[in-house]
Amino acid sequence: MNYLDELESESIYVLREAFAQFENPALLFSGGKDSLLCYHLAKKAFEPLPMPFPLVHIDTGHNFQETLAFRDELVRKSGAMLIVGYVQDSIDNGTAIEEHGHHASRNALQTVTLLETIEKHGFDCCIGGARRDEEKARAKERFFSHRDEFGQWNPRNQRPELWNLYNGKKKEGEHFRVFPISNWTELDVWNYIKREEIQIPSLYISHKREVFYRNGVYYSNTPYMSRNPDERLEIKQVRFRTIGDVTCTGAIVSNASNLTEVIDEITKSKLTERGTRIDDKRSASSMEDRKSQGYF
Amino acid sequence: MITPNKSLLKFITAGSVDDGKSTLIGRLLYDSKSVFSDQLETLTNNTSNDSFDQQLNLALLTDGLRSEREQGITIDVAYRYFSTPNRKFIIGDTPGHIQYTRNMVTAASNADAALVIIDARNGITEQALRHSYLCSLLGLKHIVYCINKMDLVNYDSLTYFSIVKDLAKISQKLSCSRSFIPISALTGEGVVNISRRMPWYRGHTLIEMLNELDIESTRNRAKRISIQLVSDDFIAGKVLAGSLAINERVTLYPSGDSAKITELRTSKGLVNSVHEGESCSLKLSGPSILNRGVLIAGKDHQPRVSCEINAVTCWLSDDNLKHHQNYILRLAAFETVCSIRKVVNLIDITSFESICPEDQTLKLNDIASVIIQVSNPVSFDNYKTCKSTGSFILIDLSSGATVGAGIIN
Repeated sequence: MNYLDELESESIYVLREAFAQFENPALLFSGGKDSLLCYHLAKKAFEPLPMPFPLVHIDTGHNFQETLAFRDELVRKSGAMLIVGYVQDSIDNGTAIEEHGHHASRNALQTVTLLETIEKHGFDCCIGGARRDEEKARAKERFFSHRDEFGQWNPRNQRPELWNLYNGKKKEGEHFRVFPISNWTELDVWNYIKREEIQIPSLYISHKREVFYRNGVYYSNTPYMSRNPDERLEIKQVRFRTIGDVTCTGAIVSNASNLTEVIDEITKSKLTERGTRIDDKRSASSMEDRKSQGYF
Repeated sequence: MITPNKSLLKFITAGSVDDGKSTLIGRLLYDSKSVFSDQLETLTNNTSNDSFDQQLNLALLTDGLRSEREQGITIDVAYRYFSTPNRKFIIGDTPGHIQYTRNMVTAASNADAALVIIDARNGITEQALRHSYLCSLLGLKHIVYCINKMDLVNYDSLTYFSIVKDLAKISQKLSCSRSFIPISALTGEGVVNISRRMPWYRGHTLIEMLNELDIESTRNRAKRISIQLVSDDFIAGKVLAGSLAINERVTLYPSGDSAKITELRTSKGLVNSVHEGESCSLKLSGPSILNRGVLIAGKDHQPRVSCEINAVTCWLSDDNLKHHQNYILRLAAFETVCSIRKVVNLIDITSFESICPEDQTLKLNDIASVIIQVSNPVSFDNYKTCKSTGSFILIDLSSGATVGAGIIN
């Protein structure tokens, strides 16, 4: 087997373990490439049966329209079940408090909505597309990651995970996060998307967009972000390397108009994928802190 | 451009706390161009007491958690990725302290090879011996001993050869293939680039060695598929050993029922045969009862079936093993209740010798030969025959935590 076949087989094995070991698992789905990859692998894992997991989208309300349209089209075509947890609902209920000011983002608030959605639907396992190469706190994640009754991750007391024996045993009220694509790198994901001809949102391919420049990153012009007077709008040829909420995801200037060019560009890039994520730039341990609280 | 046909090698780095493991990984990532400029920016933002000569602190590339950065040590296994044109590498950076032996065992269980790092100034340490033993126990194929910090002994060949001589002698009992290499992770000598300061060394650079380590699985005559789940007539599993084909007669364990494979499917669709490492689904003819945990075996090389297992166990929990207490034993997808009937002997993982146990308990990081009694017959193999059917974990009944791991002899 070549390395992509090995990664694929490992992911399918993990997805089947999640299905076998949990009563009510769900697949976290943002419409980004990593969750699309998980969806694609989950479909393969159960063929010819239909993909058995409901899709769960935690919606900040600050979306790229292209991603939402893509999500809805995929749901329409596949007949998959979609559950949306709205951050706005958590804000309205007073469980999440909106940030204010120039750098306001609903990124961190997603944790509240995610945990509320898990509780409301009684999910005992949420499958996510996090990868170990993305970020240093994620580099320490298990495939089967235990969450206590408060939904929290304790990085200093993780279960040892030997061979491919994934242990999903838990007490009442606890749940698991399962990360089938832990061992994939950004390039592996793109090489596989190309090989399998997986459809992806148009945002990942070079296009013209009205943007402004902040802290080394181009942000999309959006009503959800306030600009300084010196942050002028300009039209640039850009694409997105990672897609999150519109307020925390920056674009890169790029002419990569197809997958081969995207792969070539990433191979030569000197920046990491998450270099365009403002949510990770808040401090060296942003991700560790957010994960401990129950983030994806 | 990445060639999609490259292979995958998983290796771990092991050694004592200050031998420079994290620096070596940083060096591998840095010199193979896997470090990105925004990560470098973060590294220079991070406060560290020890940033060598205002240079970049390569170790900070791999120490992920805040508490680790504060204490300057690695606590948990961190996974890192880099590629050369013909291989993708997954590194498990393992903690050095003895109290984290369980994390070392965890990382080693999934690795093909280990880099054991030795400080040229200090020579062989107990920790290096322990880690060598654990790698051998867990069936790693290769150990590469990296004699590091050669810059601090003036690249002296005598120092290097004296350590290698001792190591070669001590590590004779190990089942892994062994190689030796002088390097300086700090300066990069011998890691990716040939060392000009060590002309007396004629062997490969570390990266050349990693590119060439043989990872082809040895021809396995045993054929095993473990059934992960059964839903209506969908039967899914993983090929743990060998290859199986359509129309092949197989035996189901632990029942011993016979069946014939009538359909095989992988991610590529319907296929005529499946091979070790592949996830598959299948259909069987014959009146057999199938559920999660059933082991499918080819006609030759049958697994053993028994209610008693002799195994080497590593205890992974802060709560000691309690004699006669029940645990869940999980082997491949099979689960049953078990108890440790006898702790036969403890193993001193520094001297590789057996010690008579004082009592029938096991503490965190203890390694011991035990006899396990299971409540339902379990089918299994020798670990050397098939890792996946020769290994198991023990799970605490009340907390659900993984408290032990075992290898069947």
